[in-house]
Amino acid sequence: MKRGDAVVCAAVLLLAAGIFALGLTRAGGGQLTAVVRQDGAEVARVLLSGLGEPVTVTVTGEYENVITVDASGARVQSSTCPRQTCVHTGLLTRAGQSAVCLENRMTLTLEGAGAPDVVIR
Amino acid sequence: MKRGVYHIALCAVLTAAALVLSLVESVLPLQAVVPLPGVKLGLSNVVALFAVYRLGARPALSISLCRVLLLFLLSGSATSLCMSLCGSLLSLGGMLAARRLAGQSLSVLGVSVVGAACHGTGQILCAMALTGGTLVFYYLPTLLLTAVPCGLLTGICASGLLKKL
Repeated sequence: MKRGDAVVCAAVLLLAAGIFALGLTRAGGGQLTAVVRQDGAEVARVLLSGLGEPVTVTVTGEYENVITVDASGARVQSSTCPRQTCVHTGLLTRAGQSAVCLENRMTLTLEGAGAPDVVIR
Repeated sequence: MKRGVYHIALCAVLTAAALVLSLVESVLPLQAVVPLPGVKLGLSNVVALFAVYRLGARPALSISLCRVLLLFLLSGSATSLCMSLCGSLLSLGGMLAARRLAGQSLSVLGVSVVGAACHGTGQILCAMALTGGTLVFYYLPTLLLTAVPCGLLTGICASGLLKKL
């Protein structure tokens, strides 16, 4: 173990902390909206607050993701993809959280209403 | 570097070893301990490190490429081929660069951590291209955090190997 090794480890950890902080600043407050995208294009957008009954969104493609949204949050309920990573992510409740199904190129995100994507000053 | 049959056989043996390590790793129930998708020990990195230190850039590259392609034939989907290809190539590039640029101040452990961090970065870049958005970029900190202990572990294995062989 040389000194350079410790420097490398510290640099990697700092980079992780930096990107994490950047992610925190992006997640705005306000009303939550569940946004479903496939191949980068928006498929569905559901406002969470005031939602009485759960809303189901089905994303088809190479596989099929069934997404349920209610007032408490959004989740991928079931999926036909082999790895089930999106299902295991569980319930999303805060702005900025997301579930991703790479096999189906699908992302489910909770966004804070009116939060801009980028602020340039 | 001695070329010829000995060299080809050595590369083949290393490719086989890397492939077996990848397969063993894919059945290890690591997700039960750390429930994070995409987090792996990176055991085949031991072979990549060995190749980087003992054989040089081109054999290391061919070993990595063969391993990724064979792993795809044995177990993979097109998505995982894309992910592991991006990860392995960036990881190998990072390790070669780290060794060339800072070889004096870095031991095998440091180079291994660089490789692990680059592997995670490559996978995130590939996932960003697949999902067509910057969203998965914010998963990178998780992979970088786990890259440090995993990189150190594979680095320890590789430095032991380099001393004995």
